Amino acid sequence: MTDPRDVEILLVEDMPTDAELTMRALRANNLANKLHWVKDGAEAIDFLFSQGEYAGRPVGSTPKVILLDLRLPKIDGLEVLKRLKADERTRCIPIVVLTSSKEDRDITESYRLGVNSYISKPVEFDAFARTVASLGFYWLFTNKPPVQ
Amino acid sequence: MNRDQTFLRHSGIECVGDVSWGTHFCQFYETPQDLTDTLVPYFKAGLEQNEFCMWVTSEPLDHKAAEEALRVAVPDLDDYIKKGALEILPYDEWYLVEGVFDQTRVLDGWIHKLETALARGFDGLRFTGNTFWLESALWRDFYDYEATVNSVIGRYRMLGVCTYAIPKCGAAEVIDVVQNHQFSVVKRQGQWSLIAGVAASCALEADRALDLQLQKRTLALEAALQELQNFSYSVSHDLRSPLRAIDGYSKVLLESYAEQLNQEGKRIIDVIRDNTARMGKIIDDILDFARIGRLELAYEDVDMDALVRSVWEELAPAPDTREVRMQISPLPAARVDRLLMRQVFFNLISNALKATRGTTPSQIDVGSSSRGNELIYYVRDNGMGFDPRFTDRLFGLFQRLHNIEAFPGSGVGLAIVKRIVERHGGSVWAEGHPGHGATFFFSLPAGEQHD
Repeated sequence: MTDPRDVEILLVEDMPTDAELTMRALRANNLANKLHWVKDGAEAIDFLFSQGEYAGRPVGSTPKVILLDLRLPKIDGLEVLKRLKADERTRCIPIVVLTSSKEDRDITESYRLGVNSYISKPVEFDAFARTVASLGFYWLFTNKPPVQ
Repeated sequence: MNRDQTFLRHSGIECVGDVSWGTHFCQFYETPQDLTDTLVPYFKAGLEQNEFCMWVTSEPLDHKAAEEALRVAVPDLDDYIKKGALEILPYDEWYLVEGVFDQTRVLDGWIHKLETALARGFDGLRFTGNTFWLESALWRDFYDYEATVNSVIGRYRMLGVCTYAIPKCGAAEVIDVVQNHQFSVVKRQGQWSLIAGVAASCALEADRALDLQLQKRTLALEAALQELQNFSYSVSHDLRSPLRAIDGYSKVLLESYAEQLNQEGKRIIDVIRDNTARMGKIIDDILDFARIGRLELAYEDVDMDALVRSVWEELAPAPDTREVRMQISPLPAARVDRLLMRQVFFNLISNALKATRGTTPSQIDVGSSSRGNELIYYVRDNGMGFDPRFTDRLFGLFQRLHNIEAFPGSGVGLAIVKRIVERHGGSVWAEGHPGHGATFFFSLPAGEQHD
């Protein structure tokens, strides 16, 4: 597991299979070195606000991108998104919703809450792997984040 | 003329006014004059409105007296009789044939008269029957008959008034009569007036009950719709994720364990992956289908020519793979939802491509025509066609006329076409024969009625 102080990609995903396939696709392109995986919305909040089991993690050290599933146990994805975008400390972290849902209402609501990108996971693994790899490249290397 | 106007008829009776087809009321009379007071203007109005009129008489006004009274008000009565618009006959030729009252025969008789009248070009049937002949022994039977007439007449282009002699009715009979008619016409202080019957107040009561029921049902429907939306939401989320796992882990097997798999093992994994891809497509299509049902249409003026060309650019197979001749005749522009209409052509043309895989050269024509106030567009191919006996099934969800190898797809494409076209106020149909190609048509209302 990546040192929580040095995370570039935070993957918020409850399905172990989806998480494994996502990490596999990133690893195939050497993008998964600094990835941290949390399994529900509450753990994501704890991680990002350095509370609970992540109490020691400095809030300032933020991931370069958060890959956020919407349907999550405990606190769902839209709620996580809302809290992160409402808080000064986390507002600038790029968040990519990566979900199975293609529902208009999820897409609309995500953008309304300030999501940076919305991606519907393709069912075919090849397409999924390509999508994940390209978004990894984009947010880790192409995108220029604000100076912290 | 619009439907409501032809539906409403002048009764000719002042206190009654206009009534709709399916009106059945009663009149209480004392004298022959009472009968002619109401029935003469009643039939005069009927004859003038191209209705077939039937007057069943009894004492105290026989059929000769009835005809004479009517002739005074309708000078050209003979013309009406000559063209068969009027029949006046005594009760024993209608109600009491051979001395027997058979309610089925009488009911069937009215319907037969109506059908004949309609076939001969009349707008409907207007009748009256005098019940003076009715003996108390027959009252129960006749009561049943009246109840039946009252409950079914609303379905027919019929208008009926039953006349009852007050001196022959006790209180119980009056109640029976009133109960079996929509309203009554009686003379009070020398004036004919209309009294809303038990049936009318029952109808009011029934309306209220119906309203309540309707409200409940609407709520239930809304709940069901919500549930359905939640269901499709769950489908969207929960069915895809395991599918992705199946496909993904199969791919992992192929990539990371290739040496341990022989040819057959790899083939089997390919089959698994093909099927997950198909199921993924089916899920997507079902969701599309559901979404189209609840989508707000965004109408705009769309250049259908350009739309079809852009669809073809996307679908046209590479020239070195197969030869397809595509001909797009000039298509009229239409006011439609662009994205949805694109999907209609996309589905129809990709179907045509599938259907012509075995035909060389393949030919696809897109064209249009107009029919009255409608624009008709079609996509025609020279492919495998279909058995016209199964045309109805073509547009059903998951209905297939060919097996999956001959015609790959999820079985949702044409159902989506139908749904989109119907949401635009049009319709879809198809023509085809096995081995002789198929043509898929859809119509759209012309003009700008949508906005």
